[in-house]
Amino acid sequence: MYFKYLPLIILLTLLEACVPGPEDVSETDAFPDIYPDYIGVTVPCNIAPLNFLLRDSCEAVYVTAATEGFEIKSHKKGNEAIFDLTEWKNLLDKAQGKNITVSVTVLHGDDWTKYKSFDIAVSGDMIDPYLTYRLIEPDYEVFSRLRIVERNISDFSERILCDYNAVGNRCMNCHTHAPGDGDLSFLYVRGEGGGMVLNDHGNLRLLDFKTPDMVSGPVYAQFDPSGQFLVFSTNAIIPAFHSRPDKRLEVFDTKSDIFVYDLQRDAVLRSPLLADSSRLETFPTFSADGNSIYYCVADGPIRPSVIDSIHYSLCRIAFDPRQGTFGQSTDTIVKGLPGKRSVSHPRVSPDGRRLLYTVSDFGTFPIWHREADLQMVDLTTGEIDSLMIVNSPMSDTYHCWSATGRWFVFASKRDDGLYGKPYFAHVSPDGKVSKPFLLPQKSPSFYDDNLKSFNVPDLGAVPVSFSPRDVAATMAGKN
Amino acid sequence: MLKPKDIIISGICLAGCVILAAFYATAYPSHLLWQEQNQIFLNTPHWVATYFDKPAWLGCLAGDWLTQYYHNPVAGAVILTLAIAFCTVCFAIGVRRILPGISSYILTVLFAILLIACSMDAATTLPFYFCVAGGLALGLLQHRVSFGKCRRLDLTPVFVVAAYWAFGFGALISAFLITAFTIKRILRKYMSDRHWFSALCAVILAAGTPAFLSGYYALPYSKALFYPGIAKPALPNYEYEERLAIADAFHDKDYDLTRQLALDAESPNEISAFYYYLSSALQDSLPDNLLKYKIKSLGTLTTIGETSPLPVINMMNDLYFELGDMTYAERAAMMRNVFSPRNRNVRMICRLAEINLVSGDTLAALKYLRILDRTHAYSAWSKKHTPGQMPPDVEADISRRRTLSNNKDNIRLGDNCRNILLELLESNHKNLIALDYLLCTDLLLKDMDTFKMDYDTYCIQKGSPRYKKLYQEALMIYLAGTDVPESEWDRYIIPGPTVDAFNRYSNRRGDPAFKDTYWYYFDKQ
Repeated sequence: MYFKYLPLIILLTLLEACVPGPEDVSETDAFPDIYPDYIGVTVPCNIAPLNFLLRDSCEAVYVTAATEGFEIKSHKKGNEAIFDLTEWKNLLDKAQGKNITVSVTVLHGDDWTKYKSFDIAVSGDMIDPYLTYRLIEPDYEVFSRLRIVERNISDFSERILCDYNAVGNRCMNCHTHAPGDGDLSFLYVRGEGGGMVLNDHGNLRLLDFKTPDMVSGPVYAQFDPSGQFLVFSTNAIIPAFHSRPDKRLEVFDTKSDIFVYDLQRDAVLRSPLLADSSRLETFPTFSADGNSIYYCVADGPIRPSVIDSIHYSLCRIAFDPRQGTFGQSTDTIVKGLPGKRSVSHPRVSPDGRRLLYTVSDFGTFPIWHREADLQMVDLTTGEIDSLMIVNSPMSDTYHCWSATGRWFVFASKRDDGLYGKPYFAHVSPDGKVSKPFLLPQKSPSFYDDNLKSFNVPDLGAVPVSFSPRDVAATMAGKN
Repeated sequence: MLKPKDIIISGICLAGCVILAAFYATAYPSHLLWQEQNQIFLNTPHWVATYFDKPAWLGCLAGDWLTQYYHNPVAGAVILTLAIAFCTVCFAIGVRRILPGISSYILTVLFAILLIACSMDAATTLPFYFCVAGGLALGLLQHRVSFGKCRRLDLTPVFVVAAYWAFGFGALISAFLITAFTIKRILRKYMSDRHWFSALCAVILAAGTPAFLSGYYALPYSKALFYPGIAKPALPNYEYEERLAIADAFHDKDYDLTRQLALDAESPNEISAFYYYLSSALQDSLPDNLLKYKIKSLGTLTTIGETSPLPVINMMNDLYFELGDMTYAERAAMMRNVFSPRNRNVRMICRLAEINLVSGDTLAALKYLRILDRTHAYSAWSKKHTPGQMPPDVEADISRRRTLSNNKDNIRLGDNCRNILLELLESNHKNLIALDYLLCTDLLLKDMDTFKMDYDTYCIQKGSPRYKKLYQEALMIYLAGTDVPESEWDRYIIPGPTVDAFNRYSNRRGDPAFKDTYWYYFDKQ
């Protein structure tokens, strides 16, 4: 795929030859003002080069990244530091379990200044190398030219999984992998003739299991660990706007229920506890062993005037995958607190020990709540970690665990309050979480120019084996 | 030495180009500006690299890069004229090798007319012309190689595939030229088997390359074949030009010109009326001018969605921005961006920066200002609007808008403008633009009870009655329909000629002599 950049690479290489080297360098105690902020982060040993730019306007940048006895450098005109992919991989190989020390020297006018060096910790825990996300404008009310993309985070290659051209410019919901099986996944195409496009190792099927008692097609859905069941919510969603411009959008459900779809038996399984007309059940997900379902629930009904008094609690119900039956009672794991806490998007770690969720002041759509933060509950002790090192003053939500449970990815609006971007955080075996880092891009100014949100990032161990053409064929009934 | 015939033809062509450029610069400048505003071009390697994600990278890159200079209407006129002239020259060279003299001249003239007709449609962009020119140029080059000094080298596949890669549907034009040259030689019996193969190869590759690459480019075959899109010929659309010119004058904050253009419009419509009223409101004269324009369109009864025409979305963005409702101004700006080519519209990116500056959302504003800083035409604008670097006039404008904006929080389920106006007035009852829009909407709907209630709430109870002739006339209608005591009249009505006129009108209801009054509008329209 690099051939498309060939003319640029040749041009840049020619320009590169004229970059002056650092001379008469003065030093400062301050860290450089770099974007993305990679100072003090922990990264996996299979991550792409952490290219960055300096927010200061400068004429040239000289950067070294070193670990015990091995050093690579980026020396360029302008304000960008870009590392060679092969050199970077060699550096990561040598730095596993250690730190990389990054030293930044910049040319302002005729003066070179060396900033305080910073460390990047390289974890030996690998991360699932494939990240899928939907690229969409942050104003969800209207859309055009949507795209679902799979990015290899070990390098910069990306592949389009579904394109607006393949589905007649219709709305598509995000792509979700099954836990532990990167090539079992689904996405949902909305509108007439749409449905859930199930990818079973390259074989695509269009599923439409909506029944008259459901208020909509599947909205939030997750596989069970065996890949036999899909738990999903159906939601009557109302998009609304706050009149205060800093709050922007509010989205709420007026009805929602949870069902389980058995892919083998083509049957929808129901529990009255998950489809109570007086309550709003949503955001379902299976436990790591598949024997219970976690979900969020609030008392209904909802009217716009009382939206700020709606608080979802995190609950659990038993599920027997052999019989396809549900438990007769539910447990409350994290209670929604009026004015303080509404829970959404629970995700259980693959070892079943921890559960990551989002909390916001109220409601069910944390992506536009600036106060929305991630929290993690230890399911064995009930202890809640507020993840201070992970969260930001802007929305942090839509998280997904890696297959090993040592990493999670989430969408954060911390940079500008508008556009969600994928950040990754490391979780040590004892549950200690490190400072997150932003998905690196080949061009560090990519995010500055980009006007799309990376919506619902989802990790996969292997590339999924379908293309927009396959989706188009499935939608047309040709598969 | 040129022959006299060639000098005459060159002179005619040159004169034609000058006339065409003058036409674009004087009669069609807003169409050109529309093209420029409806896209963005960033001067960054990363942005340039994005053009390789689709076919026709060279045609689109060159076209979009030059379109940013449409910001200056004269430059835009010259660029578009030269693009059409270049296409025509390439076509003329090709067609002269195929057809005898007079036929080739006629075809060339028809081709030029076709290209000019395509430029009359606001949807035709400069990349279209560059793809046509590229396809023609590569077709000619192939002919030169195949029948020139390098005739042993058959590079037809390379030319056609390169034409698709660089110029999209231009490959079809290249293949057409190559086939036409071959047929010409068949007719003259100059052909060898190899040339048959070249022509066949050109046709197959021009049709087959898009099919082969459609997966890579994520395009369905029909789109891939004609990428970036075939323009449609059209007649000059002066009505649309008129509409765009009014919106442009408003955008330049020349409210006198906006009103004058709206009044002079040969085809007054919802958009000209809207900008007439909005300009009036910004000059504190909406009630004075409400009855002076024959079409009544304040925009307060308009809602927008995915099927709304693009100028209407622009219009609503302007309305909410001027009223002070940054939530809905941002919504309209986002919507307009989403429906622009490559989902970007430079006017709306400027507007998003302004909206966030007014809202005090500096991080979001900086996001848009950074993008604008990387453009040719808006870099200076970006610097002028960067917090900490603003000149006093920009800072004052932002501060003024901040005082008008909404500070109450409510949940809105739709774009019901009445609710929005009420919220704005609850936040700041001195927001006269919102007040006039509220009261004038009531009056256009002839809803006198609501008008009286709104007037009482935001004028009388706030201690700032608004003594505009229109409101006085409307209040007289309301008061005359009730049994209120004289003191009530004194509370609302200032004695004077309007009261006398009302008394006269009461005896001559519907008399056209009173057609400038609200009483006449209320009774007759």
